[in-house]
Amino acid sequence: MKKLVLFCIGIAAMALFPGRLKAQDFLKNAQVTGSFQADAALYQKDAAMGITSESINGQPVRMNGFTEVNYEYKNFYAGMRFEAYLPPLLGYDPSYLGAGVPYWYVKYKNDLLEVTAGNFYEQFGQGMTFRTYQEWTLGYDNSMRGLRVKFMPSKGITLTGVYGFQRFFWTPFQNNNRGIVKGIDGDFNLNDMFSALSDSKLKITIGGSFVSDYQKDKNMPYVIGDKAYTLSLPQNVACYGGRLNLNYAGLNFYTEYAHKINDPSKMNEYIYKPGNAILVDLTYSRKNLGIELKSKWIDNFSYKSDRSYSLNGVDINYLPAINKEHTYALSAMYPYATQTTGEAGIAGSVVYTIPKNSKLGGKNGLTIEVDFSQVNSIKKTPVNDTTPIGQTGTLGYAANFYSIGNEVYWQETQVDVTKKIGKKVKCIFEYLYQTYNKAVVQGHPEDPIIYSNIGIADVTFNVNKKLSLRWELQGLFTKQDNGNWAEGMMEVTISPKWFFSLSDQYNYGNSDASKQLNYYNVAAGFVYNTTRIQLAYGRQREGIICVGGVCRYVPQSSGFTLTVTSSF
Amino acid sequence: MKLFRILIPVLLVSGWIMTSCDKLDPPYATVLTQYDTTNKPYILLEEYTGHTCNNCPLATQKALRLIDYYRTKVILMTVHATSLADPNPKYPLDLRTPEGTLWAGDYSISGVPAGTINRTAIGGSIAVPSDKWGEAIETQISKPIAAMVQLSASYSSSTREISASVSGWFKKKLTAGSNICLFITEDSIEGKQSNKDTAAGPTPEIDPYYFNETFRGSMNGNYGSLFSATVEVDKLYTYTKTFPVTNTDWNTNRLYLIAAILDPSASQFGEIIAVTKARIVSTK
Repeated sequence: MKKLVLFCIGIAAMALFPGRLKAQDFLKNAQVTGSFQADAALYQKDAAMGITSESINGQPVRMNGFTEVNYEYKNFYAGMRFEAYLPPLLGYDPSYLGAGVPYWYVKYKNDLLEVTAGNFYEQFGQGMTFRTYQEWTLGYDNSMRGLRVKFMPSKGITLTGVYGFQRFFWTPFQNNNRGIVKGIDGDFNLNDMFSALSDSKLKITIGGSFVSDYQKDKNMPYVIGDKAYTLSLPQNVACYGGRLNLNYAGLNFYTEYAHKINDPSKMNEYIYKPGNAILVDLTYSRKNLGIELKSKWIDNFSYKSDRSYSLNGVDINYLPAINKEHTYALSAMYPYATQTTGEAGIAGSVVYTIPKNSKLGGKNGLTIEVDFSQVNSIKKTPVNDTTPIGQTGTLGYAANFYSIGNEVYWQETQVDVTKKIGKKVKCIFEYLYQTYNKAVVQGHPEDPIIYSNIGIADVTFNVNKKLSLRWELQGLFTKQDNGNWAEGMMEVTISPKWFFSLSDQYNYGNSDASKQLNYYNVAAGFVYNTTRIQLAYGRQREGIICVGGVCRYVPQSSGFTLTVTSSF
Repeated sequence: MKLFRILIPVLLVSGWIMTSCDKLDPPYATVLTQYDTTNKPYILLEEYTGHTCNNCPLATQKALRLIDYYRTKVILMTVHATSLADPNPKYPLDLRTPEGTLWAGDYSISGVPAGTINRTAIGGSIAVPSDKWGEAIETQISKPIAAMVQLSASYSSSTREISASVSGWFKKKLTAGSNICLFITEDSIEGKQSNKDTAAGPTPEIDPYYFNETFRGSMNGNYGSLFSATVEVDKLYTYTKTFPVTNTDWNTNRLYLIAAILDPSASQFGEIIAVTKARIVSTK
């Protein structure tokens, strides 16, 4: 199998780069790596949860899977990923139904140049003007298919050009059904470029990018209020930005600003206001101490290569989240999703480790982390006396740079304490207070703001080198939404091959007694070298999961799940 | 040399940047004048919706404005499907149908509001978001007339049966034949509708909300039945069908019938090439 893959890739590489490869070399001296994952589920009816065969759409067995293979020989690289969604797991976009190879590439790289043909993932700066990436847990993939050229004319300078169209599930690119994206980015490390700065303790990197999306304008009727209109649409929507990174000793300052010209779209209800976004990140670290302060301000900054698409997909850019991402079930119950139409946020984090052998730190030290983040609306004002804010076919609204509105979308205060007791016990205690504007974040205007207190205890006991036990106890207390929750979990790991877990989330505070359910889960896993197999049975509560501010709805479900991952 | 290496790409990129930025000046929107319907085909817009979908009332309004603009050349049928159409204690009305649920799956309707325009793929997808309905209708209505269909329908209160009589003729030959679909719709069904747009009505809920053009069921199968095994140009084809009304929830005074000719060879589930609508006249 491996030889067959090598052979196919080698033939492709020889066809694309004739005269550069010898047939025997690409078999003998090449390196092949790859990974595999299959997530399968057998859903079952669950009367208590209201899950019927209709809600499973009569398809109880579902599977998402992929295999990725990458080939490397000297300066040549190639790879592909096969994906299958037969049918997609519940909560993933049904448009994924099918199987095929949505991702393949060939690449040539030397010190001066890197050329990629096919699909690629790329990011300019933090991604505010351009980012393509894949996130398996979200079912998100906006990879580009086309050409990417990286040019390194001199030490410290990297120029990147991209040209292509984005993946949209399995829909082929035809008849301008989505945009053609072109972009250029320059990254300049001044310390590498100028010998006078090479020994400086101050490290300076600057960058700039320009991206343009071409989407054919079609003379089509739009409905605004009680009349049909035709909208003048920009065929070329440009977005550009600059960034600066300064590093001195333990202090790092990063800022990135981006601007987008008029980009009427479904996301902004077809208004013509230009967009702005800025991100500022200041970090300081020294032994036992880390401090981070972040700020972002986003104004009308969704940038997609299909102006009529409003769900996850075909995003050209990415707006980084500044709030902390959670892994514990109850602290992650109300995750924040970036509001591309406008948001203003700040975040701060302090991590301090009280040294070992001190009065408070004890033998192993004690780590305390305090985090705070808040995201508000931005202040929008009407463009004139007769046009309501957000009116389609107008500028939409006016907003001063860095203006902050009164509406709170998200606020979180978190305190973590991590303590190792002796050689065998590790404890993590967390307290969080969250304010979650569900009406805005999840788009349900009838829902109230949720205020929740969350407490978490996580204790790991390493019985011996092979056996370890871990317990979690969590509680979420709120008067809104579904009320209070409790969670308990126990995990047994028998290194290096086996792990078992038993958990239950109990919505004991739900005002509807019929919904005071237990969401139990039992799981067992086996690890062999790089292969991991996990079988679980239980219930999944309804909710949303977010990665980096991008979210996916997870419907409630019940049944078996099987996950197999491997790499080679 | 270093400067030269940098200068060339910078010049090339600068030239490209100049042509990659369409900054527009107001007015951005121009009112459309009435559409010239001469020699234009009828179009079926099937709007997928649900009573807990808070974006759906605005989408329905968009559909109605498009019907106004195209001067009734667009026929609307609303199909209640997906989980947002599920009844619950707050929204007990159940307007779902087995056919609608099947179509939503077959046409990959992953979220509502969405629509199909003559069940024809637009940009690779049969499901069209509401912002693309205008574009999709414009594409379909600009095509030459492929077929025409006439319909009469009545309901007998004594036999509780709907009788339909359809005639159709074609402007193009269909070697694989054609199907005829008969869809029953009902107007003015009173219920409640979730809503987030003040432009469409009170938020967060419109109560009462009157569901119009609501698909109630098919008289002759999920994808119709055979109209003719072969289709010749300018030849008349006829079809009759009766259908027993067993559902007592239907208000037979507010029923309509939509007749659509389907070209089954055009795609996996066929494309609609002609459509018409008539009131189901009540008789004794």
